[in-house]
Amino acid sequence: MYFSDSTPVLGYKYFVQAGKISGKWQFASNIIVKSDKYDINDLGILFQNNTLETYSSVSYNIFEPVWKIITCILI
Amino acid sequence: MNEVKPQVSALVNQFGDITGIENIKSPLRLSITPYVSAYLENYPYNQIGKSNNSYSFNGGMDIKYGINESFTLDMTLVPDFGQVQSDNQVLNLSPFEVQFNENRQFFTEGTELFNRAGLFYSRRIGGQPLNYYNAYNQLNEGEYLKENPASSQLINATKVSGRTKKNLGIGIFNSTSKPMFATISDSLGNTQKETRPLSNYTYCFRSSIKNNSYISLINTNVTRNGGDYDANVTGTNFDLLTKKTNMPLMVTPH
Repeated sequence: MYFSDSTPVLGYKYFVQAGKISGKWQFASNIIVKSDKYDINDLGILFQNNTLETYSSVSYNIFEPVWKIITCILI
Repeated sequence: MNEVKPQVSALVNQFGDITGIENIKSPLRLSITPYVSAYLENYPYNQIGKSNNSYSFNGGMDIKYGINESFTLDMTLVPDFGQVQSDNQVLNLSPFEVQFNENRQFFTEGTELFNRAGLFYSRRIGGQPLNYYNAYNQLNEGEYLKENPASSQLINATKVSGRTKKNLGIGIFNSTSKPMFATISDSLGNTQKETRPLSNYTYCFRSSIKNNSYISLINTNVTRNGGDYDANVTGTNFDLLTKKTNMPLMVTPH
């Protein structure tokens, strides 16, 4: 946000995710960072800024039917 | 028919392609919907000097035009959202604001391009004026708030959106809202300016590249007339998938 006669207040957010999304073994991990000045509420909606979140997941997928279970994902 | 492999991520990217459909003529895509509305409201204020009846008379127009095979222009002039479903009453005791659903047809039709990246909350347009609470907070002694509109009236809203043959999606949105005023009364009645004409601008660009990867660029801007601040948000999204569609790297800086 900025006033025409002063320096703007700048904030940022980034979200990076990387992983393997096919095959038996799948994994993903991501990070979301919102800076303390990040404010998109003039045309967007944001409940909280100034946060850092990380999340990781690993799963083992069985695609062959086993008895009566068609697919099985172990997380 | 294509085989859908459960070990591959997502479903649509495994669909087959339909090719060879050519020379299909489309008719002129143009629809103009003018409207006139009249409201008569009766509320028993039963106060001296204040009428129990209020009335308003509105007129405007909606235009939808197919520019070419890819893009559509949608425009509404002085829209009347009086028939839109109202929000539920929410008792909000949390420090966070309540996010309401969008029920206005103009903002729900064909807006999927605008909602990418989560930078666009259409209820801001024509929503609560920026200095709504300042009208309460800046009252002087002996003054009281006679009227404080909770939403702003739109003058127009325009959107152009579509996707070309080469899978380049473009959406442009613009809207302007009227200045709103709170009425503050003391021994002599006077008015205070609330929000300025808002110009809301959203630009969204999305292009598909190889292997279902994409890159997009989004910009939103709010320009306010007068002394209030302006706001700008720029974002980019890209999603890189390897040839086997199994190693994604998603980056979303705003």
